[in-house]
Amino acid sequence: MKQQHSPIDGSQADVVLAGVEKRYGNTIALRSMDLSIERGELFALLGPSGCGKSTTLRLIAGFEQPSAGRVFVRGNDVTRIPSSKRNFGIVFQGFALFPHMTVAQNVGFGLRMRKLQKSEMKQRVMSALELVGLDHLADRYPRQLSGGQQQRAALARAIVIEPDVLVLDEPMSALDKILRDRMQVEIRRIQQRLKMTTILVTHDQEEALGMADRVGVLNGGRIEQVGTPRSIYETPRTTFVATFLGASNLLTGKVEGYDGAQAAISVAGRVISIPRGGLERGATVPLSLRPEKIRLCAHSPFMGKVKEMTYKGSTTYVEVDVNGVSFAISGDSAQIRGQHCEVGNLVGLEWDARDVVVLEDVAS
Amino acid sequence: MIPAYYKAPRTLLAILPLCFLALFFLVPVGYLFILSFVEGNAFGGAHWTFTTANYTGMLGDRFYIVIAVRTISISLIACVLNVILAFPVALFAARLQSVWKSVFLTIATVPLMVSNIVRAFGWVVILGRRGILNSVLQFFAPQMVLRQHLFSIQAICFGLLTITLPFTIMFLTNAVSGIDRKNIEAAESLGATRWGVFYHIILPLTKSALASGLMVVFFLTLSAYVTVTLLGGPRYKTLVGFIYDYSATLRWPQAAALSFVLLGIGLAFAGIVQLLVSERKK
Amino acid sequence: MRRMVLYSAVGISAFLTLVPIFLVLVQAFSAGEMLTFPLPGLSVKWFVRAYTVPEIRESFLFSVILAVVSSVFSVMLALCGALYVSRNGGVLSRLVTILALVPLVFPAFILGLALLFFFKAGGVNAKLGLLIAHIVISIPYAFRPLVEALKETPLSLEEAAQSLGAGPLSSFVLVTFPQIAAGVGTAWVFCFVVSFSELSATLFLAGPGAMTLPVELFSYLEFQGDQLVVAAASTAQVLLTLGMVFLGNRVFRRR
Repeated sequence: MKQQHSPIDGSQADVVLAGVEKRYGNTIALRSMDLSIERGELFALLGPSGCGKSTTLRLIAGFEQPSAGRVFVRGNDVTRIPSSKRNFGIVFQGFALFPHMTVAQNVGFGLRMRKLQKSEMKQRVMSALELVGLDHLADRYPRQLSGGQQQRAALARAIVIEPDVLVLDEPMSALDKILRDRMQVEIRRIQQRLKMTTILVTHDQEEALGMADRVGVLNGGRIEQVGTPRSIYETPRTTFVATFLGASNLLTGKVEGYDGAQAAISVAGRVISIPRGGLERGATVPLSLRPEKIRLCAHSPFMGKVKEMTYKGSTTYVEVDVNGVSFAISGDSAQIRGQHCEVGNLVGLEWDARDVVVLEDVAS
Repeated sequence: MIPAYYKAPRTLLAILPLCFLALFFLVPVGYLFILSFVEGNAFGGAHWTFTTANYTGMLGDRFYIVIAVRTISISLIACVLNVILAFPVALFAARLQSVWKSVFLTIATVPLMVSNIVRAFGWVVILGRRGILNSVLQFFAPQMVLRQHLFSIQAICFGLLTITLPFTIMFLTNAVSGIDRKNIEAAESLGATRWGVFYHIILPLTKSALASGLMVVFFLTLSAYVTVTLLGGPRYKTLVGFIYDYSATLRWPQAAALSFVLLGIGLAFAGIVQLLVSERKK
Repeated sequence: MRRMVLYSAVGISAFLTLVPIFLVLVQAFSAGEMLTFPLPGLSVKWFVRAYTVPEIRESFLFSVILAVVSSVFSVMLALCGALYVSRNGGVLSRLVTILALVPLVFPAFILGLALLFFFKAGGVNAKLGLLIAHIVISIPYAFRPLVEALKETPLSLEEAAQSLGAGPLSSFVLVTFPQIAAGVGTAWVFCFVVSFSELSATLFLAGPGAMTLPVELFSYLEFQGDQLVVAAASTAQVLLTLGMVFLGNRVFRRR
């Protein structure tokens, strides 16, 4: 198993988008996208609604054709090949189970289209249903199933054809929170067992971070960042990625100079050093600092007045004003109580230098 | 609890239309049924003696059998042509964007508001001896002998399609539009061809609408007296033509019996269609 | 290939359903003396001539009056039924629904025959007979939109009005009716159109002094009357119908 991933690497790639673009009349849904998804990995396309992730999915699945660029699957150009010939298994948003067919007929549909023999078909349908734990409901109709069972049936229908690529389009959006958490684990388990190249399209960052090997964050028809869940969460490259993947303190810093490999950057009237080169002296740079990376302490260069406190059970949310700059802090409730943190009190803030991330956006 | 004085007028709300429809729908049809079993006299009255001769007389007469077969054939042809034409139209319309779809449905249903007489007359204008078709033919082939295009089975079929197509198009367009687009994409992604999608997904999901459309078509064509008379002329009479003639010549019991034969044919067709639809569902 | 099949079906269907009507409208404006194609010129003289034929003029007027009166009655009866059905369940409710919708599928031709015999036996005159027949035939067209409109109006509105002291009648007039006014209007237009173009049942029931335009046109055509007079009268009928529907759409459009 290959562990390290690089953004574009043709050798192991299962699905490759090369300069794919999609225009509808004058509106651009997708601008020149390069993407490479590797064999056996679960790749999440993450973004808000209207970011182009559905369009990307429809292009990959073959429901639409790109205005420019090419789509490759296992090295073959499939740009002009219709969906019915691509051998992709798709779990649709809302599941799209055929209402007039039983679960078994639904799952067997793809095999029937492939003109398999009755006996083999039956056996493969049953084993797919067993895999998703639905073998006892084979003769039910979709409307007689619960949301979670429909989800499993849709998954079985997609994997029974042994697809080259499994595509999950917002697979959890029709489920409630508890079921969603359980299905995430379960789908991940099945995917790893079958070692199936999988593309997950979602707007839920928890789902993407929790399930994927790699995540591609889309915004405005463009990929902003691709990387492992950890890398995109901890070192976001853009303001959008920093905020979309969770709460973040977006700060503005000014590059004062260098101290060896450490850049000295002034924030809220104090100077901090960040292990980062290549920044122009005197430039204004956007910074991101996650609220949970900040700790409260008694003494620190960053002293501020507590403006607001919200108790949230295991964690407590604190807002501190340092020289007119507001910092959001989220920390362990017990630890925060230990710092005599109360609205109006003076507290100190500290963090590790490497937790401050310099974003690439042009400061606006 | 709702007080009694308040409940009484509520029941009256139901009683009023119920009585009206019972008196002017159920009773007359029941009376017609009774009339079909009595002996008629020559003056539009009846000797009130029970007989089944009005029915058995028809069954034994080859003449009536021929007319019945013709009537049923014409209705079946209309059904088949309706399906062949309306399904592609519905597939086309279902893919239109919502604004265009409502424009389409408006245009498609406009003919329903126009009296059957006008629609039949439209075909007289086209197919008549001095009609548009002959004018066009004469323009291209001046020496050709002009034929009467009216009073033929084709003319009847054209006229019946004009009346029935808007219904089937409306029914099927609504049904096809009701199918989740994702169902079709799911089938495609699982390897179904266009024909496979139609046969396995669209057809089963629209068959109840198709069934009701066909029943409407069948009943409408069965009783399309005006269209058949104007476009078929005296040579191509169907059962309704004889019902009208009998009533005009005061042979009321025969007219009544023939009406119930017509209803029976229609109900039999409806039954067969329902049977086909529900059997495939299993 | 697939496109071709779809488009040709759309084309053929459009031809079959729309062209005959369109041609009648066009011919009505002919300046010629008989059915000719292409038109020798445009004029409205056939409308004038149609108007001068007393049978056509009178039957047109009679049709309008019959449609107006019968549609008012069918809307009132259908409204009663719809009010009951939308507020109550049970056998009576189901019975009303079935009976109010059956005339939709029952062949009007046979209903006309049944009513003819029934009215002959009961000594009902032709005008009243036609009125009753048209009410029966158009009730389903009013009943359906009214039930739908009432289902969209929550019962709680009426209950709120009654909790504030309104009686059953005033809560209906002041609260429920304004909510369904658009539905009532639409229902009335439907009934008008149905009655105005009804031909199958009317054929049996019309008689001297009670002749509707479609029946008049039919006998006119059967006895080889002047076709362009028929075209002009048909056009007047189509235009009046479409005008009613168009106006109805404007006036009774849902918010």
